[in-house]
Amino acid sequence: MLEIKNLCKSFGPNIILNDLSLILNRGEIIYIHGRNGCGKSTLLKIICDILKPDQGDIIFDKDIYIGALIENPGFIENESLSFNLKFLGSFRKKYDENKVIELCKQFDLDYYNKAKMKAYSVGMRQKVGIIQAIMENQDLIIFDEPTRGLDDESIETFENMVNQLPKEGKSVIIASHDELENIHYHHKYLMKKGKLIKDEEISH
Amino acid sequence: MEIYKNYLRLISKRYILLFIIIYLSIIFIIDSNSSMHFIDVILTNNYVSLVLNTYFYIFIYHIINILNDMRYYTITRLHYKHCKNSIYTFIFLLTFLFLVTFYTMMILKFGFAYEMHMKNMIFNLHLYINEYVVFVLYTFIYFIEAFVLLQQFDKKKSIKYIGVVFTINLIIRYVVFL
Repeated sequence: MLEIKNLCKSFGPNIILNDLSLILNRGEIIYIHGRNGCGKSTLLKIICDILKPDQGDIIFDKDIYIGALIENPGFIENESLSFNLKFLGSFRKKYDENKVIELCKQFDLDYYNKAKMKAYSVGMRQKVGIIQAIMENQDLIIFDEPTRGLDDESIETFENMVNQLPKEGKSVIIASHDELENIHYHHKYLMKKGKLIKDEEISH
Repeated sequence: MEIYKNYLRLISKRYILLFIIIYLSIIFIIDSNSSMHFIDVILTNNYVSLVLNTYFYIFIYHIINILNDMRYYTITRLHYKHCKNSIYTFIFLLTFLFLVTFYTMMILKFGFAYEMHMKNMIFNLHLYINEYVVFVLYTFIYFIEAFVLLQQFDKKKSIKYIGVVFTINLIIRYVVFL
């Protein structure tokens, strides 16, 4: 689904990614961990086309649609949850309202609540960010620190939801400090000195 | 066009209402003098231009900020280049729409005064052309301001962009219109 070859990225004198390579197959979940500033978010941003690499190639399978939650989710603050999700869903015309309502229920959010997004807590915003990343049946889903601000119950919901995604042929990349032990990762990587080092390999 | 329709949903009723209030204030404040046509009115009423222009760049700044806040989501959906191009196109279309709406409203209120202009053209061709050049420049300023504000796309929110626009506005008004 995704192949990264010899990726390099620097910000001024700081080398963030150094000849990094990665292969992600369809239906796999991978976990990336590492110290603050090691380049996890930079890698994810490059995959999402938010940042350009200095060198290297990123090769996707044909017609891959990416869903991503990266850093703090930004929304249209003076509009409701449903307005925000409909707005994002209308770019690709893949908005399935019933599916979104179901996802909102799972995460204990009220789809019909007219409250403005600026009234939402950090955890609630994070949930909306998670929902927008998966609501359009995206093929490759990228989560950067997905459990930021989530309570234990929501973390469990998130873990169960992620475990279901490979069964639908979707691939997931999670970069986080929390290991989220209930997720069935296929590969775990440590990011160090701009490279990904495989922790272990788990066969399912 | 679907993308632009989608972006249009970002324009809140509050901004449309404010535009209507500003416009209504303008037509009630300015005397409808039969010897003036809409370009005269726009160019000679400096405070009208200033209020409207200030409203315009604050409005555009606000829209760009919303799009900027959501950029990670929109870039992921549209890809960087397409997302950036669509936002630039949308803001320029919005500027065009804003000016067309304003000029149409001014024409409806003050008219073209075509006969008066034919007279002006015969007796004072130089002034007549000069007025239109200033009018084109006046229109162009809006697009320059929109372009400056667009530079904050994919950058951190900063008041400096609005500061630059404010300065450009002041300089041009002082040099050209006053």
